[in-house]
Amino acid sequence: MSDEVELHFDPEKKHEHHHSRPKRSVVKPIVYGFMSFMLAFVLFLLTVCMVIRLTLFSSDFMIGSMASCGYYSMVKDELKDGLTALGHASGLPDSFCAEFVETIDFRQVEMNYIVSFYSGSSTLVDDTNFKQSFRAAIDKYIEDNNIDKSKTTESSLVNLVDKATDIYIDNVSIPFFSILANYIYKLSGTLNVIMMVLVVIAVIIGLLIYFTNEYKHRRHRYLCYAFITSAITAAIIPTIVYVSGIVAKVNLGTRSIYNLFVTYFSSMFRYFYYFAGIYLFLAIITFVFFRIAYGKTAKHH
Amino acid sequence: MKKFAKVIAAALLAATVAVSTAVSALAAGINADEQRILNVLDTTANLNGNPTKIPVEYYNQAESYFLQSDVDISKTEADEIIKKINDVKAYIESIGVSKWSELSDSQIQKIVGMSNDVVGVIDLELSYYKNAAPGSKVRVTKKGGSTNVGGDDKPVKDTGFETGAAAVTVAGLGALLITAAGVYLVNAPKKEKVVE
Amino acid sequence: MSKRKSSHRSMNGKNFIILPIIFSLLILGICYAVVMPSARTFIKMGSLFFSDSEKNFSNDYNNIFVPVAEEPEEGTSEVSKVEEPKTVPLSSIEYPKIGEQFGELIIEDCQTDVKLFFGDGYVELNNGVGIYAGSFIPGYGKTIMIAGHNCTFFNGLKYAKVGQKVKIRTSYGNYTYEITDIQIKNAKDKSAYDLAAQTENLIMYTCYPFDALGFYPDRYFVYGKLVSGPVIDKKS
Repeated sequence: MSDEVELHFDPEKKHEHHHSRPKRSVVKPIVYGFMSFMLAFVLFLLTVCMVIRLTLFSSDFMIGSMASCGYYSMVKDELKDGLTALGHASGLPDSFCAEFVETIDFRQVEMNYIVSFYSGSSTLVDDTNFKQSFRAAIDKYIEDNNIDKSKTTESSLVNLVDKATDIYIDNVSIPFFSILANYIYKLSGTLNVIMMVLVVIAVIIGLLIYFTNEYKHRRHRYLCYAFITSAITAAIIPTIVYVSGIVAKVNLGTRSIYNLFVTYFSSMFRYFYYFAGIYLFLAIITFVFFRIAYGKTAKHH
Repeated sequence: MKKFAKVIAAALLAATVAVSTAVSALAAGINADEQRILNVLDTTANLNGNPTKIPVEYYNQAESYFLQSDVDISKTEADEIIKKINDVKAYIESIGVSKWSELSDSQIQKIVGMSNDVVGVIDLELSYYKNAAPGSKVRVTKKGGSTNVGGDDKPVKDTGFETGAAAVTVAGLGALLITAAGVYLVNAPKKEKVVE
Repeated sequence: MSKRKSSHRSMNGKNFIILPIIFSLLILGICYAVVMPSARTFIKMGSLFFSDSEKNFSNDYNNIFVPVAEEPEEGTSEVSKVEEPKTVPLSSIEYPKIGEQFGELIIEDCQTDVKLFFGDGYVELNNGVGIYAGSFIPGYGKTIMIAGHNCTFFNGLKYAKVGQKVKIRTSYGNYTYEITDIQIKNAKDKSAYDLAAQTENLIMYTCYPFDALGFYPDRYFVYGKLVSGPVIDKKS
């Protein structure tokens, strides 16, 4: 890693040059190289933490993913299918189930669910409204169609509402939330602390590289190495994921969850590319400064 | 005990449901190697001193699957499957608990991990839906597809709706931590009842 | 001015490529070495959730049913009547997969003429009636357990009576069963069926009561015995 600038050698001033030629340092390039490596490492860890913070730990990201993959309409269709099948086993016509599902505002339901999840208040779907509405709809159906009271019992209607509610919860809830919940609540604060520490370390290393190097071009060179490395490491992860196509091969039970999973994780990995782009931009900036500084140093010597 | 028969059933069912080896024009039937696997399925396990057999519906599912024309287990596959079945069986017997609730998460995880090793031999996958209704928690499917091969569904249904897409909740990441064997234990039925 | 020998290695652009690549590999290698031991279990379990190809969510089903000639009526004197074989080799049958339609079920007295599937899931029961995968197909000599929705395809079972005939048509033969018993039992009552039976027996069930509104715990079981149809020869 020794990349000392070798001074121009003028044979006519050989004797004079011989006494003023600076010694080539071996230790310094290694030390600065190591610092550059450490800066890249810290930036990589910081990237991972920030992606997690901006995606897995963000309710807005989840809501955005749902909106972009058409999650709400898929859930609606799946709930319609589920209630229709329940209707076949319980005497409710298809039209009843279809019309009832249309009355549900899935966007609001999911938003409430996610917001309450991320705020720590609950990881469960609020089924109170659904239960009441469904029961009310059934009672109205019985009344409107003059259904003979002998054709039904209170316990059977309660069973029916309970089954329908189970289907509703199954459709609306996002299963892996129950596991994420533990990690989000426990790690959220820790993640923030980790990120702050990493930022501080990165700044310290950066400042050390910058201010302890006597030559400006070297400062920028080592910073450039670090930023290029960070860009590469940030870009490798999503590249491997995209090339393997593993996200689309997930084996999930319903189309809505599948689409949400694919959209969510595809978007999440895209964040790595955004950070790679930022690091690449910084690398270009530092490279330009390096060239300018190097030109001045070479000219001076 | 019957509850633990379900545990073995999970492992053995997954183990015995063979993949298509992509050999066309095979006839329906059970070859000698498949019969060997069925014979292993038909043995008893000693669960805390109680000789226990797997529920007949799981044995039947395995038999039905072997009967399919494009399913033909080779001797090598059968040997490996039987060995892994016996490993799972030995592990379950060694645990020495008398109730499903006494199994720890790590034990459950291990059982299903071992079951999935068996499934892996025969190119199937076992999906675990932790939060699904009882009878919908475990599905054994061909890799990459939605073709059902078997599962823990109870014989008498609520006429179909609870096994529908709407009712099967995906465990997702949750199942990474608590895997399929748990469902048999979580839903271990009382002697005369099927959990609904 | 003489030529100056210079070795401005720091201006060598290669360092801006090679070093970052080396650094990147080191970083990823360190992360791999640190994370993998503890993440191995999760990765192994996570692999359970990934297939070799994208998931298929289609609700389409495969139909392998090809009708065979009808059994001649008893007492007919047609010269051209074709006698059904008494046995059919197992090797000649395409054993149905779960989700496939492989036959038809007809109960004329109950106005029931429906598709018969193997498997009793969502798709099957939305399109016909289905055999529980833990039971077997007609002719196999064991229990055949068929489910159907009471509001749709098995609504006609409410007219079922002992002595009525149930016909099941498959690609390998036509079967006739006679209803022998009708019972109303709880869905969780395991005495309602015997999946270990070694003689052919038919069980059709649906939710009970019919045409009622609500979800009930009872099931309407209709039992039948085999009257005619080729026995599947498992040895050939």
